[in-house]
Amino acid sequence: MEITERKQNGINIMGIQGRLDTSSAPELEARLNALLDLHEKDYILDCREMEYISSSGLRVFLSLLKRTAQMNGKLVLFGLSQSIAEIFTIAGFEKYFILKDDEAGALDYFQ
Amino acid sequence: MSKYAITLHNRIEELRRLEEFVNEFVLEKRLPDCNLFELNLVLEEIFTNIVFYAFKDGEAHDILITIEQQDSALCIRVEDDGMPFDPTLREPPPDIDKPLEERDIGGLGIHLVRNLMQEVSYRREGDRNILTLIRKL
Repeated sequence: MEITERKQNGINIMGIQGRLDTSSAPELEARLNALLDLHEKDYILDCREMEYISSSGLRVFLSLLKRTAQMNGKLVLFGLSQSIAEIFTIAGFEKYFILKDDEAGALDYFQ
Repeated sequence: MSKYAITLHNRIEELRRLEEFVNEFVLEKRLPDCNLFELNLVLEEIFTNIVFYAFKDGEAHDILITIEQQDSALCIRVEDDGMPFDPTLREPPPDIDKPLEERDIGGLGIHLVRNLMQEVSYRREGDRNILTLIRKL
């Protein structure tokens, strides 16, 4: 897994590439926790190049969503592959998360 | 050869070998891509459950995984010599209808496995845990 980061209009835009599994999830979680501890509350996750997710990765997403909600922040995901979108549905996540097709759609949500 | 097998040690680092094993199987059998994702996911969930919960002795153990294609189904068998451990009982199904504030962070692994496989059954044979999973193709 690779993580890319940039900031735009106060929103943390993070790209997740590759596999978000039990081996790599702690790295993403640590990075997000570091940002959350700095009271960063708005996030866009670019999932276009995320190839795979397991329950460890889903847990990191759910935990991020809960923490941003507590801070009245926003979390938007975009570019989920069809396979990953199906896993979100099975997990019952599609009703918690804001999912967009592309970055423009994700940024619009913050307007 | 219709039966594929791999022996993994009870360490999370072995996930990489598990992934390679599944990739090779799906490629050789020319199965559609969705099987690659879902088999990887199911086996990761089962394997990590065993690594985290089945052994308390701090020793090295082997986890044996076999996949066999039988007509239009995949039959997966996961075997270990850990303490009696039925993953189908361990986690109550998460309540996926709960509002976000009440939704538990955990409990997802077995829920995903149950939903992606048509059959999941556990039995104890001597000092071994045997989990059998069936996925229709």
